Amino acid sequence: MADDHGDTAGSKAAGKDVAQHSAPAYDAGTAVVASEEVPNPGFPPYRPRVTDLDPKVDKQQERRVSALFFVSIIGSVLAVAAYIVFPIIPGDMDSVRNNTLFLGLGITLGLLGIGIGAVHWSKALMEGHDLVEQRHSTRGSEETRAKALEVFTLGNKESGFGRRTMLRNTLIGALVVTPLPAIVLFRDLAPADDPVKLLKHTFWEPGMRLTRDPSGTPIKASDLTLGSAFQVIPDGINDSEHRIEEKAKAAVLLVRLKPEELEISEGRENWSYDGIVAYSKICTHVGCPVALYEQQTHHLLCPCHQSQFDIKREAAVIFGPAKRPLPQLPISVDSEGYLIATSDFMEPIGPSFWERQL
Amino acid sequence: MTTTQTPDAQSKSRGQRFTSAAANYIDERTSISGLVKEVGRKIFPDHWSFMLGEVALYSFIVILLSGTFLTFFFQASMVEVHYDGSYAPLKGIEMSAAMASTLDISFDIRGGLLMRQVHHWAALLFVASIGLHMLRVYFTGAFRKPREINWFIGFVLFILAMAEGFTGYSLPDDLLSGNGLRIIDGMVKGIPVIGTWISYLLFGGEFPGVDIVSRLYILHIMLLPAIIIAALGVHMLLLVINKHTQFAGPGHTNDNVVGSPVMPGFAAKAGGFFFIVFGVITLIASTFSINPVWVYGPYDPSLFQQVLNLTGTSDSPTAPCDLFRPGGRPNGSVSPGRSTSLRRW
Repeated sequence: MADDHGDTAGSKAAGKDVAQHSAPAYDAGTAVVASEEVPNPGFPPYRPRVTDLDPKVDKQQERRVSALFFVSIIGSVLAVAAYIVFPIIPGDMDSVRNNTLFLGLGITLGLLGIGIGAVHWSKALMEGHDLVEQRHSTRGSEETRAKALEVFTLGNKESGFGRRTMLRNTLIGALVVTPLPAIVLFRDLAPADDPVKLLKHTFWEPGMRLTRDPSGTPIKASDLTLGSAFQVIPDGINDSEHRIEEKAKAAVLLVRLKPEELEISEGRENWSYDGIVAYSKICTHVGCPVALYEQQTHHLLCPCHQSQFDIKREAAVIFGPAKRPLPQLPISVDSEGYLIATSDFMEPIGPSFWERQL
Repeated sequence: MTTTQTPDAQSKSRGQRFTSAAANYIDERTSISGLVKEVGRKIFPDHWSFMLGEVALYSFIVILLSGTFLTFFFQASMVEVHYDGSYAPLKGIEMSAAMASTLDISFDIRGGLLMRQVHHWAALLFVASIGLHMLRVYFTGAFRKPREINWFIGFVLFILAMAEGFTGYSLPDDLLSGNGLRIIDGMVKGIPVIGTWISYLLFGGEFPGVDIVSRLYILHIMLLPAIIIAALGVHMLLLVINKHTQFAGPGHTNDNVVGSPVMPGFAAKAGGFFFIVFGVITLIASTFSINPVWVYGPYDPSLFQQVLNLTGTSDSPTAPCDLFRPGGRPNGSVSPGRSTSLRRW
């Protein structure tokens, strides 16, 4: 029974009737129980608000709440006005800002007026006494639980669900198998190709020219000064049917160092040309573009998760979450002096996947 | 005998007679009076930290309202178009219809940018307030019996909120969302045994493909919100069944709840607070820009949008060459829009 503890009555009849529930007994469990509990001092006396005592203040607060609601009306009207007075003029960015700002401020006023007004009404003018309600255990009463159990027992008895085990088990089996077609139906989310094959090859082919990203103009070895870096895409990729998908695998960074600075491992002697090396721009961690090149240290940095690769040591990982070096693209020059790839990447580019062989 | 006319019916005003007739009409068809009796004077304890969950709930409502507005203008399609809206620096640039319609919402629809920013700020507030709400519940022990199930439902809601955040972040198909998707693709590919295939099916082929935006869109505006609304319903129902926890205080015991009743005090405070949350989000959204996709430009797998100034000076000896944007390329082919905030470390 809801019960107020102040000096006014009036809400006694309303509220949830929980009188039939006895107060639940709690098991202290492992909690430390204070041996000398402080006795419950009971509710502090209600401290009347100014609005309770002084009818003038009460009236004043009423006017204040009303004024806030009035401000809200003005705000909403201003928002409609701003929609018309501050139109968007094509090409004029200031008009977009003004439209957003004044429309937004009008709506803000409309909303805050109602919000602050209602909360103030509640705090200053509505009946301020705390009320008390008894808690009751979430657990159902013994009687209710017995009845629920009876429902299940009857259900089991009348259907024979527990007794006819073959019937029950085949039903469970059928229910387990029914979703299978739903799973199979999703196969055509993607085309019939094998994703593993696609992941192992990129747009690069032997003899394909290295071109600038995004213009697609070929690059001569002599265009690269010492220390410079180019973003590179394969020749013809811009006309490819799957331009973005191909670029997501074929993007390359081209860097020129002094030939003697490069530490070249066995088998890669002819992968570079006069200190020019090309590495996949796709991070081996989760595939972000490795977009930063530190000219002085020859480090490549991936801005997503700060993996760093050392160009001098065949893009070995020197910091961060990436596990493998960036794959190197073997390059050379053609008869006209343009840089060309001599093959595709020798390993899949980008992040690891299950079928990738190391 | 279908009316509730009382002897003093004649003395009631028109308004009163209408109200009682309407209440009678509804009750005779729904027996809603029982519900009103049960919960109408339910007691809610008062403490500022109990607001955090309310903020989450109200910002979710704001997300639903602003998001519905956005769906009327957004095109969840990756069809390549040439942008022809009023943002001059990107005119003629090739981009997806999703990106182009996002720009149209921002620059050609009155209040569109405001709604985009309301949606985004409300989404941030949603996740942040869920986090704080969970901390409150955790540190006050309010997750313990009999509330474990509700704690778990809340946890699921937290995950769903983040899923909504991720799917929404990916929809405009700008450079930022493309790079976000690429990270997700990398993570999905890392799942043992089935990762490669999940990524392949999710993207409808190789990353990024032309399907992912429309697929994430249906998750973002239908499936995930439906699950969130259902889970929220159960969350609220269990809150009512278990009753609210309360802090210790004079007169407070384990067996009672002390506070203000739903009608009218709590309803006025909570209802007013919804408007305050909505108003504050709108205030932030109308004065602070967020997710300016026009600065990032359309997705390009070899570009990155974030320019972090870590070293402070551009002539630092270790300053890396900025390859984020193609603006500084030697051939001078500057892509408009991406070069607007060209900076060097």
